[in-house]
Amino acid sequence: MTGKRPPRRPARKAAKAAPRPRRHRWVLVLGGLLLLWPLGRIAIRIAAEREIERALGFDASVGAVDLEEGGARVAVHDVRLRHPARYGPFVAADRIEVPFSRPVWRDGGGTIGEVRIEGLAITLFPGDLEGLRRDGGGPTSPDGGPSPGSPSPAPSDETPPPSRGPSAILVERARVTLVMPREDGPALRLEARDLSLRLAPDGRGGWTIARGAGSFLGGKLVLDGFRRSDASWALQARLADARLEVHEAAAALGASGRLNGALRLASGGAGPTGAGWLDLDRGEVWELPVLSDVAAAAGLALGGGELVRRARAEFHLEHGRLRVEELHLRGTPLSLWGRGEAGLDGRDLDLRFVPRLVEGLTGDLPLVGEPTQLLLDLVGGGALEIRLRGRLDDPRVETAPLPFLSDPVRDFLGGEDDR
Amino acid sequence: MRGARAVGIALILGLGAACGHPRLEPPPAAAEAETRDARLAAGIERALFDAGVASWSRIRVSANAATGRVELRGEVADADERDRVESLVAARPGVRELRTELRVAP
Repeated sequence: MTGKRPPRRPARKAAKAAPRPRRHRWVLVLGGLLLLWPLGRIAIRIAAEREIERALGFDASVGAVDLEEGGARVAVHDVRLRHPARYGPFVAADRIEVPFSRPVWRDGGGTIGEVRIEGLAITLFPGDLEGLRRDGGGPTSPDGGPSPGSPSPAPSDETPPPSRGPSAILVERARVTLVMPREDGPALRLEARDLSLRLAPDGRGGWTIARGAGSFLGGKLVLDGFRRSDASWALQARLADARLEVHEAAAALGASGRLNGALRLASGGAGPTGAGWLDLDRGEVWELPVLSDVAAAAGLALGGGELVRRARAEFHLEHGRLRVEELHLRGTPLSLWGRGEAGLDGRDLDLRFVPRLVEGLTGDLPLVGEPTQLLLDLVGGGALEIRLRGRLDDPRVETAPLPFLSDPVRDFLGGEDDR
Repeated sequence: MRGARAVGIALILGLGAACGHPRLEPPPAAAEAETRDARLAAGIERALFDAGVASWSRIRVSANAATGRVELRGEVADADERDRVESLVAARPGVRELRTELRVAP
C-alpha cells in the first residue's frame, strides 16, 4: 500500500510562514533596547575615559553614567584621574552633571549649560605643578583654543569651530589637600574643605573664579582669581579666624592660636610669583625647632619650655623661591626677628635671625654649664645674628656678630615689638 | 559617538578649569612686575587686618605697583567701614589712585 507521507510538522511551517502578531515585534524591539541601553552607556563611559586620558595625559576611570531628561542631561559618577607616575588619585569627583541643549546623541548635544561638579577632591604634592608642566597636557580652552603647554598650532585658513565650552562651572563641596612628605615622620597634610566656587568664562577665552568660599583649619577661606586664554593665571586666598589647634599635628603638640593670613599667587617665569602674610595671635606654640636651636646654641636648658605667643610673617615668591621679608616670633623667653629665603620644598634654607631675651626673665634662666658668649650677648643686649641654613626640618645653626643695625633690628632689640 | 565625545569634552573642561594649569613662561620682567603688584596688594590686605577692619577678608584688592592704581571690590559691613577702608588704603605708600567698588552687605 502506497500512500503519500503526510508533510512533516505542517503546523510549524505554517506558523513560521504566518505573520507574527504585532506584540511579538514590540517584545523584540524592547528586548533589543534593554540590551543596547547598558551597552550604549558603557560605550559612553569608555569614550569619556579615553577623551580625558587623551587630553590630560592622566589615567581616567568613570563610574556610572546617567542620562536624564531624555538624554539632555548627563550625570557622571565617581570620576577618578590618576597620574601614571603617581600612586594615589590626583583628581576625583563624586558627580559631574553636564546639561546640554538637546540629547547628547543629536549633534553632540548642542551647547553645554552650567556644569556642576560635586565632591571634587584634588590632592597635591610639592612639585606636582612642575610635573604637569613637563607632561605638557592640559585642558582645552573654552573657546576651543590650544591647550597650555602645547606647541602653537600651525596657521590655518579654516574657520575655528564654534565654542563648545560650558556656560559656567559650579564646584560644590570640593576638597583640596596639600601633602608634604617629611623624612622624620608622617606626611603633613593641609586640607581646605567645603569649597564652593563658580567658574565663568570671561568672554575672551579665559575663566574667572567668583564666589569662592570654603573652610581651612576651622576658619573662613575666601578665594578668587582668573585664568586667561594665554594660560596666565592668578589666585588669591584670604583666611580669617582659623584655629591652629584644629590641625591634628598641631593639636598633638599642644599648639594653639588664631590664624589669619592672605596669599596671592600668579603665573610667573621660573615658577609662580606672589606674596602673602600670616599672623598668629593668642598663640601657644611650644618647642618650635627654630627656638630650640637658638636656645641650644646659647646654652639654655629650656627643656621644651620655650613658647611662641605671637608670630608674624611677610613673604613673597620670586624665581621659584620663598623670600621672607620679615619673620617675627614673639616668645618666652626668646623672641626672634629675621628674614631670608628658602626653596619651596623647604630645602636650601638661608634665614638670618636676631634673637632677644625677654626682659625680666634673664635671672631665672636654667643654664647648661658655663654661660656661652651667645647667651651673655643675648642678656647684655648685644647684637648677634643667628643663621639657619640647610633644610627647614633639619637646619644648621650658625652664630655671628651682626654686621650692622637696620632700623627694624634696632626697634626689635629695643623692645619695640613688645608693645 | 558624538554624545560620548561631548561628555568627554565637558568633563575635561570642567576638571581642567577646576584644577588650573601652569602657563607658558612670561618674560622675567613681567614676572617681577607681578611680584611687585602682589606685594603691594598683600601689604594693603595686611594693613586692613592690622587696623581691625572686620570685613578685611571679604575685600578683594587689585594693585598695579607701576602706576600706583589700586582697586577694591567686595563687601563691607557698613558705610563707616567703607570710608575707613578707603582712607586706610589711600594712605598706603605706593598708592596713587584708588578706585572702589565696595558694597555694603545687606
